[in-house]
Amino acid sequence: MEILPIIYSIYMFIAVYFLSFYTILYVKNRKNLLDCPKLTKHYSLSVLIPAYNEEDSIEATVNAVLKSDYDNISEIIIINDGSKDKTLEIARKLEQKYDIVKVLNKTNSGKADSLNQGIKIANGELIAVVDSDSFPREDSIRKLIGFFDDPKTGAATCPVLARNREGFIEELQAIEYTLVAIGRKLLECVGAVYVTPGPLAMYRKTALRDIGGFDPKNMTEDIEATWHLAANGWDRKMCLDTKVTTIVPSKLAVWFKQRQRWSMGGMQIIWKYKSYFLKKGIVGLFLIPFFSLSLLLGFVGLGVFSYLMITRIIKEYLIIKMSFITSTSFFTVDNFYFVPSILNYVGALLLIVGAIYTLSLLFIMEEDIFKRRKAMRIIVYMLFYTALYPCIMITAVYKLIKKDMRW
Amino acid sequence: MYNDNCCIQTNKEGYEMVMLDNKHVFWEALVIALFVLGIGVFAGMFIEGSRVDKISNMYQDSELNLLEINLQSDIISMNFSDCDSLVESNINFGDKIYQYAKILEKYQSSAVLTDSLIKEHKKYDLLRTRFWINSIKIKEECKNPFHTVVYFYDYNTGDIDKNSKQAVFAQYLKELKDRTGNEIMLIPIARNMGLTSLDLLIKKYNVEGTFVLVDEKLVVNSTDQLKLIDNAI
Repeated sequence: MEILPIIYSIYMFIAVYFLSFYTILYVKNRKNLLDCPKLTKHYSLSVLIPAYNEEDSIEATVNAVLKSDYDNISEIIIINDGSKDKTLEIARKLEQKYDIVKVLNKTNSGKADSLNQGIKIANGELIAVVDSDSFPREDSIRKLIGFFDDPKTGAATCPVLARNREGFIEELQAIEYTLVAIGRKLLECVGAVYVTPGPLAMYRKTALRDIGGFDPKNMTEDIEATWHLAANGWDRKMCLDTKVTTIVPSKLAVWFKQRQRWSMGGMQIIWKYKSYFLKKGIVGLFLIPFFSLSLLLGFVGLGVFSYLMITRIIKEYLIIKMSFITSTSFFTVDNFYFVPSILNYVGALLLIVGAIYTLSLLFIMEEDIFKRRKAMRIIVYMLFYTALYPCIMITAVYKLIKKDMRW
Repeated sequence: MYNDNCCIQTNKEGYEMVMLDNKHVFWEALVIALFVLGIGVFAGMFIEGSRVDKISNMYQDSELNLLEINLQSDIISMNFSDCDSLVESNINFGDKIYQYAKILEKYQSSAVLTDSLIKEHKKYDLLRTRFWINSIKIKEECKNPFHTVVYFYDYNTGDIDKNSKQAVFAQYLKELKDRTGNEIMLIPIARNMGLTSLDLLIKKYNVEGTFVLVDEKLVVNSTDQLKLIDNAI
């Protein structure tokens, strides 16, 4: 057997494995997926909103938190991270208007450091982090509180969905966010929630102190904190029965930079926790292997794809060049004649099963997938959008090697 | 590895958030993936096996035809018959194995699990070599009723240059055959199948790599010489 069919077979095996893994998890847990523990204890809650140049959205974010139906929000701390726009001015107005709103003004030092300074002054037993371009639904804070009745729970989150869905790129991200949300919930069933994301994450203050707060050196402080909590034995929970919406990039360049940062952060985390590999709890036995495998598959896949494309282009170029010399046709009906191998059959089958799986998840999440425009975007998402991930990873590796941490 | 508290979470009011024991999911998914892999390998063997059977049947059919042509050729050498029917049979056979060669090439590119098609390819190359020899014999007996154009190529080469060159050679010869019809006997033979008899024949021409041999005289081994074939026939 040649090397390429072996590589294809390995990819297909892994795809079947994870498709089966998520499907079994869904089938087993489908009746309980929307369950969230009832509110029994009204813990005091500090909401931290780190903001850097967020004049367009900060007020709406604070208003969304103020509308929360949870009755024991003790304070909302807006941490202005040296914004150059009117963020501070708007924050001060909100501070004057609402008693529970406080403003912490500081020079620019990054989101992780801003949060750490906020944690120092926060008085709640629980701390919620809300990104300044995100909007929790009325019930989302309340629905996360019940998880903390379990003393082992260190963090909780809910689905993050796209708020702006008008444009093409936004719509693709909306599909992605929806799939990620249910995927994360399914991972919760095996205790493998790998991120309590910035748009809305709730933490037990003692748990945050246990891990020493957020890591300012990491580019994705929310993922790092979640892995750190997992490594220290804290459970991370997720409530699927609510949501927080966030503004997603509407320009390809901004989207690319955001994903690059996420990739770089992910790699930094794998590197940081490498000593746990196959050793300790969910981090060593699932999260590191799972994410390392994703990276490896991305790199190898991109490598194989590039190799095939380049050799194909060179071959076609040579054929065309020689065909001109000999006056022969270089493009014939035979070019389209194709005898599929078993790998082609299995690949096509996997694509169909994968499409059914994706559509089912979107359907479960009540996305209206039967609209014609949306159906087209799902196809684009499956075939092209996800194929961009490895390209982003390559640029992220390049930036990491160059130690270029700007974003 | 899994979360121990995942099964039943109870809070103070007795509300139970029931989560099932999911620790077996890792193994269950592995079993399913292995099962699918097994089915895939089995189906692959079956598909490739049925293609080999088809090629085998075609081979048996071809072998019978060639035996008959051989016999006809012997009969002619004993002056028991005229050349016309022999030449016609030979041309028909040539067309047939040319078509079979194309099918074999297509199947070969889709074989990923077994190497049985390689053996079939070897058998076909031997058959085509015998056919070439027989065609030479017929040309001698029947005063050159056709031209033999034997195309020696490398089977399954990974070299892009060679691959491209072979694609152009194959296309050129295909177009030549379409233009000239029964005037030429086009015989493609893979030269790198480790067949001693074929190696002995090729050694005579002292040419490396891909080349075309026209009427056992003209050797063409580069694309810019291909036009010489047209001039020779």
